[in-house]
Amino acid sequence: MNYQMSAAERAPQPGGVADMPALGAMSSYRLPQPGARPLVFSGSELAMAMSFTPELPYWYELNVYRTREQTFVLAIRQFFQSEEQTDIVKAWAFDSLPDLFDRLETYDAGADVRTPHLDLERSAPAELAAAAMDLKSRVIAARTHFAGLVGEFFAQIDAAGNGPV
Amino acid sequence: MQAAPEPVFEATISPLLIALLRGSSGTGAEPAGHATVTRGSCPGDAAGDAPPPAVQLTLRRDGERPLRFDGTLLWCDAQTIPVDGSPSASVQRQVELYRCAHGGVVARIVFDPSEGMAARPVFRAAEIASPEEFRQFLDRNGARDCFAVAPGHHDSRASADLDLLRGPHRTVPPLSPIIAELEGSRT
Repeated sequence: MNYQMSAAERAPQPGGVADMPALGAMSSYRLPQPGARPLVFSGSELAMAMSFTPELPYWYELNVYRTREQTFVLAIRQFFQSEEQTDIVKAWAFDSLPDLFDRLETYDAGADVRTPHLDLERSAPAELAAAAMDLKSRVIAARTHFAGLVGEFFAQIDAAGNGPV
Repeated sequence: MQAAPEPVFEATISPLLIALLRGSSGTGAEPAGHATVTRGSCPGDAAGDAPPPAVQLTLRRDGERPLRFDGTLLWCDAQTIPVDGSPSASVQRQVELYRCAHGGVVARIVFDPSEGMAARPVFRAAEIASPEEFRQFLDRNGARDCFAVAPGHHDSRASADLDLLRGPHRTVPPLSPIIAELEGSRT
């Protein structure tokens, strides 16, 4: 894991402490986005969910924030156990929580699976077939893993508030 | 079956998020009560029992918001299936059918692997309109999905065991009349 969330994503607070804010505390955030400008905002974290498992090569973390302007931000982070892989964060801003939840439901974790480098000219057909099967199983694994986390997230909201999601 | 990697899911929800979802500043009234069903209790088998009144139900689903509806549990079937020939490694499967107050039918399936397996629980629920859709629902949602998060951690024998959990087997025959009766009651 080479992605340091507290150092890279939280803008420094004048006179503030460097550790993570408690859930609900106002803070400033700077979320790097691949292929886009960083998403910078002030707000508070409303909820988080994670799927850390030491034995698995990666895990996901979801964070929901409310900005000072009363919009909402969803961050999806993928952390890797291996130091050789770069952790990923993706973030989106929304006007409402239902829009944010829609994005969560439609996020395709299969797209996070990195495709292996294959030399198509030199690889034997059996080798390509094995690589394809491996890729397919990793896509299914990522989607199942993420869907379980999303289900847990919504279930915890339901359990915490007994209200509509 | 190899030991362990069981993904641990954790979620923390702030009271503010709940208040926002209720559309209040956090001091509003509680919403109408509803039942969050983690695993349904099968209805009594005694003949002549009056059907229980419809209540608001919430069924957890992987990857989606919970399914909410007013209804009653009609039928459920629970089985423990050993995996890999080990008494300590098994998957608890529960299939449930609900009648919705608006006349539809909701099917739910939960797979709950025993602790220490490289697997995750699976929660699936969907509205179905025919016995064929119910069979497709069972086909789509197999216990193999529990193990999908950790590919390569179960061997071929476990795969064979899990194949037995797929497809229409003993849960289907008693359900067809129920669904047919429900379809008839809607027309």
